[in-house]
Amino acid sequence: MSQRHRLAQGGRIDRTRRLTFTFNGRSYEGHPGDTLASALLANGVTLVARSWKYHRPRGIVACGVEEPNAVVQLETGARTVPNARATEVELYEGLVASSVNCWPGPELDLMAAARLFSRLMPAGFYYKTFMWPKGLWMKYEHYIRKASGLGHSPTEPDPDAYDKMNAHCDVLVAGGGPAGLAAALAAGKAGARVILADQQAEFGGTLLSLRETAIDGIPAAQWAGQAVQRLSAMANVRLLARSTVFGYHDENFLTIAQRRTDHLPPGERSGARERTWRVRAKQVVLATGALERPLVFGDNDLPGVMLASAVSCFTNRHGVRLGGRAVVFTNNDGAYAAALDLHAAGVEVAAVVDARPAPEGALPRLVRDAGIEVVQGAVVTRARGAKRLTGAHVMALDEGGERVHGPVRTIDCDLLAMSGGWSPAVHLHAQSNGRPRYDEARACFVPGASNQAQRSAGACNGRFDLESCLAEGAASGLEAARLACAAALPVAPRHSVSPATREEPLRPLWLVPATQPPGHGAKQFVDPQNDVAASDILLAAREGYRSIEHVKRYTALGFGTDQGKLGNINGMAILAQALGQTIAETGTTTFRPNYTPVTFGAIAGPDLGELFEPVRKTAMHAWHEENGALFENVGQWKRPWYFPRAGEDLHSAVNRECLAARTGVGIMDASTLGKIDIKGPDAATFLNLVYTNAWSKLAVGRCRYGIMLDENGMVMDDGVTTRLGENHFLMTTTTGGAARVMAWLERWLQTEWPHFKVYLTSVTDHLATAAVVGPKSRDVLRAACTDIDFSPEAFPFMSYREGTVAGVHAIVTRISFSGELAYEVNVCANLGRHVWNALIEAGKPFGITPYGTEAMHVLRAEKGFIIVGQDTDGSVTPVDLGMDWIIGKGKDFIGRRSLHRSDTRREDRKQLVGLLTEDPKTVLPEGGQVVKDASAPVPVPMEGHVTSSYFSAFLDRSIALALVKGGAKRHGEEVQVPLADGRVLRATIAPPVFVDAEGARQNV
Amino acid sequence: MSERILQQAPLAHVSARPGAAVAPVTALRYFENGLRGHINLRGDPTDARFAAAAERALGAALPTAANTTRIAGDIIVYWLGPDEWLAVTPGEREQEVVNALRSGLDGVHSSVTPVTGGQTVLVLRGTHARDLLAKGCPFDLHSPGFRPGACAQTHLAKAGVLLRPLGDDGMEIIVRRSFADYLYKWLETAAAEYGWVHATGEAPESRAHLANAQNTVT
Amino acid sequence: MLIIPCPWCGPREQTEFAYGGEAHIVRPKDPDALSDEQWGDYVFMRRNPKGRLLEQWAHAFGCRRWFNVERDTVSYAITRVYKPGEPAPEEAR
Ligand SMILES: [Zn+2]
Repeated sequence: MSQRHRLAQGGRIDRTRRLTFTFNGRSYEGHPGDTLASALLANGVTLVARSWKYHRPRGIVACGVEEPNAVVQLETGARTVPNARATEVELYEGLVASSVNCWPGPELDLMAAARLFSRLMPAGFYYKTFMWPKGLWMKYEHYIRKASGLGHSPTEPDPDAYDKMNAHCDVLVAGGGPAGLAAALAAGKAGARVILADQQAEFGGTLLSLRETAIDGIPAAQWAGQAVQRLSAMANVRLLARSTVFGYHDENFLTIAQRRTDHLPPGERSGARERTWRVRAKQVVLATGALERPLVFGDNDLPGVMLASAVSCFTNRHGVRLGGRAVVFTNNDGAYAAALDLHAAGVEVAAVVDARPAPEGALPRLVRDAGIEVVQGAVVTRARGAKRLTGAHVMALDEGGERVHGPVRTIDCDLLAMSGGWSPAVHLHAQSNGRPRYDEARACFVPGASNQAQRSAGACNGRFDLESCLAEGAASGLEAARLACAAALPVAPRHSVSPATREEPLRPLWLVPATQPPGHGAKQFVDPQNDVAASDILLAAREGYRSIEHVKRYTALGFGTDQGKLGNINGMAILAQALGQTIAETGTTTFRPNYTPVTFGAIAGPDLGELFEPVRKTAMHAWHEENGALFENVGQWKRPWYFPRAGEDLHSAVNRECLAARTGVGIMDASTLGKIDIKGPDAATFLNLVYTNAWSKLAVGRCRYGIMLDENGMVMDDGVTTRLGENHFLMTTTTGGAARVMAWLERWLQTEWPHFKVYLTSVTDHLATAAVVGPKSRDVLRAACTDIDFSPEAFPFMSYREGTVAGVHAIVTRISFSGELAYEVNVCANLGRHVWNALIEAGKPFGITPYGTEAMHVLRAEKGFIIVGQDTDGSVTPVDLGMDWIIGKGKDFIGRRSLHRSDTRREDRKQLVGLLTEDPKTVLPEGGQVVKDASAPVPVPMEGHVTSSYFSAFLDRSIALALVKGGAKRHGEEVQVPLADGRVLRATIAPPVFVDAEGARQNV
Repeated sequence: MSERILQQAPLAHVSARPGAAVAPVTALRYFENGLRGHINLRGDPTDARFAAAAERALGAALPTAANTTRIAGDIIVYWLGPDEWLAVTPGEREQEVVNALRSGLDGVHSSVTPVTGGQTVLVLRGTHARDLLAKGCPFDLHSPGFRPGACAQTHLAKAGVLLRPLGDDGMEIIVRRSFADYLYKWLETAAAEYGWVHATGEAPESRAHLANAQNTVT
Repeated sequence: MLIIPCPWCGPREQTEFAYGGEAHIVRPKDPDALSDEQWGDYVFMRRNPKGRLLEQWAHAFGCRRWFNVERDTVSYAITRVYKPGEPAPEEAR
């Protein structure tokens, strides 16, 4: 289909190439250089959406990020993008898009019936109806969700990759329009490390839409191109196009979303789709430009009503013929340029309607010279038309700006370019902890004092003429470079602009007076994306709302995906008027990151799937994989969970593994336990303080189990520590607690007891550890190691020896987490696999069986050995665990005093007990609540909960550990554990040790 | 029992994959300099006996300026903290250096702890080495002071690392054993756009380069 | 996100650090001499000022040293850092 609204010439588009795209199922053509919006307009598609609440027909209003209406669903399937702004979507071959918010399409919208009820949906509609009556909430919600639904998110996994890049620079320039380019040129030339980011594909901003203006004697767009060339040639400057600075955080930390492939056809995309730049800048220049304000008049949302700047942009930059007959409605000089641009493009301009009584500036004069009528002291009170603009009602405006009067003149037109002035994009300034202030003279919010190392330049600082923008940009860039590099620098370059662009002041016009009272005539939209009209804000004021933040939430003003970039300032001013206060007193809502929507992909970056968290592996990991292990996550570690043989499930494999350890020999990879080398003359004194028990008298060569408390008296870690020498210990910690314990111990040493002569070194990763467990473990060790005497007398329980295992040096400890005869062999991890292989080989005659964490848990639970973090939860003392024996007397230790607080002495604290189910085959669920009588009236008093629960093959029955109120004195009592499915399991409280309470098995 | 002793560097399973012996210079080449001796040393550098004994055993004075290295022949000593250093030695010299340190430091409050099995040395070579690391490292890798002779402990993605710049196009990364596989996968993924080449053998750490690095230490 | 000047390594990103809460909480010499309430004060009670706070940080991914930071809880501005054992700035205590 031909581009029948394409101008015969002009525009920054490549007319030699045609791109085919599909919108709402129909095929169109455009050119490289088009956005989806400009291509649609070139094809005469003006109705692109339906509004979300009233389903009114909507067209394209703006040409950039502030576009509220042309919100589309881009592509389909896994790559679909919801709520893309057509004004930002670069056209590519094969692009597929559809309107959101209407079904089956904007031309025939079956949901438009909602308009008939619009009067029933005033401001606060949700709030009022959803609060009461209660039952209706569900009904309304269903209806609203269906009717409103902006875009839909993809249901398949995102096939694209994303990444992140950290960067450091002297000067970050946000925005590549005239001020930004001038700033980057000045800072770059001064030698500073510069990053210049702009959200568009092409640098230049508004320069790309200017028709006749020249900078330094060359056309503005060409000047921008040359500036980019000069910047590209500087090694110290990094240019980021298609990159939106979306967040400004503490200490000049800014985040930038760079779109790397979205402009390409899906088949031609490669590499990361988006890159999030995380920039630390010494100095920041904000050159984010300004957003043009719409005017608030009746039916101002009709397709064909457009911002004046968008009219210039589509006409000059994209070569689009936007209409046949145009009216320009303005309160300032700037919009006259649109009239001239249209005129030059051959579009008839019926009139410029100017709210000011006597506009006499340079641009109005040029317009009059072109033979275009200027209707001064007048306003457009209402747009006419159904699905498309057909005319405008024009009336005179009184001096006070509060009333319209005189006859209504109807001007036929299919395009209305409007301008209510400009609002600086102060978003990043505000995010940087700046506070925008209202500038009465310029009728806009401008940046206030800087609270970080940043400055605003150009239109975002309220400079609306090009010459000032360039001058302020250059000066700011140079100043930023000077501060960042602490060097004396040359003076900023001056840029000349012709023709001169001095403008007369605007006449603030926030709400165009109507002939009927608000709420009765045509709707005057403030925030088109949320269908918020002036009447909604006035209603909120009448109902007593005073704070702009409350009005925002009551009316939904500024809540859309555009975050009210178009309408917020008008809304605030209308509220101020209604409340009889100044705009400065009313203030703005908070500008929060992100400036524009950011994909979840860009936020997640590459940290997904197997890179989401570090997967820590032991030196024997490959062996476990080769031997069919299933793995369990323990902290960041992958530990073998169990080693199923053919046909085995978890239950049967674990039963086999447990019986092997109890009756023969098993082997487990214990490398993940934290290991800390502790050295120094005060090492034993230090251990006395960090463990509850005493260490001074532990003989060299012996091991001891210890429990570590926090100062609140609660168990935080446990493990076995070995005395390698008089001043030398090797501590083990839990797998998950290793880093925490290391930091904890260092903290005490560095901050509380710096006089202690103790050095700590983590050897967790250095030592690979194989636990050989079971009655036949001694036989295996004897086979693998010939220079250690393994006889019970020479190498007793809880002691260590050094020797040679499989030809390499090893530290062998005789400790047990299973209650069986057991040894742990520690070697340099480079030799871990070698020694493991050798132990497996040596164990073959004895049927050595590898086992995983599940069997380890069963074995330790049979013995009543706790797992910190499973049987404890930060609220459990050693007394609660029945471990009074480990609490040293006559010495201080961390947490000791807390054990004597009134609360920790309570007899009805939850205490560790065993639970034996009535039915020995039933395994209680971990986390199950323990009660006396499940049939008691709700709420049933909770007595405690199950912490560990397994089936013990050795005992041929289930066992469980639980924390039960006063449990230590309740052995023999029957309790109940109600299940989610309604069943109630019965169990008896028992001592928490189920196997070999005397400890005979490990002492052989 | 097998007499052959199998030693495995943390990324031995990666190194075992077929690699490119010759890589284009533009690409990013990765090497593992595995099975080095790694010795953690702690002590008080203001204690003259400690400083002298360490210098005797290592062949050079300990670097006491934060985040610097010192090279003594085939030993590289890294500053890790005000009372902590790492000495990386050829694998076969580890025991000898440990013994020399321990005997020299007898009676001096100190700690000489081998951590050989606990970490490994990766080397990246290529013009994009720093760009690659910047994807996951918040440290300013391009700062003027970060040149041969310097080192920095920071994090790369979610793994703690010790970095040592090797000129403009090279970086040494020391990482803990258990994180090495994760870090390798992260590097390989992040490097796709730069042309990742998994090179065989060890990094070309020429003597000339070491000398150069040493000269820049002040 | 903060930039924290480690007294040994210089300014580094916050992601390299671990937070340790209020600084200068001295462990009582004789815990048994304290009432439950006094001991509870030591274990649990912390200042929560709007303004300057002295706090502990550790350079966890760096030199592993703990140190003290004077930081404003409103502006997040770090006004000084000092090593353990060095005196606290009087005016901020
Ligand atoms: Zn540090």
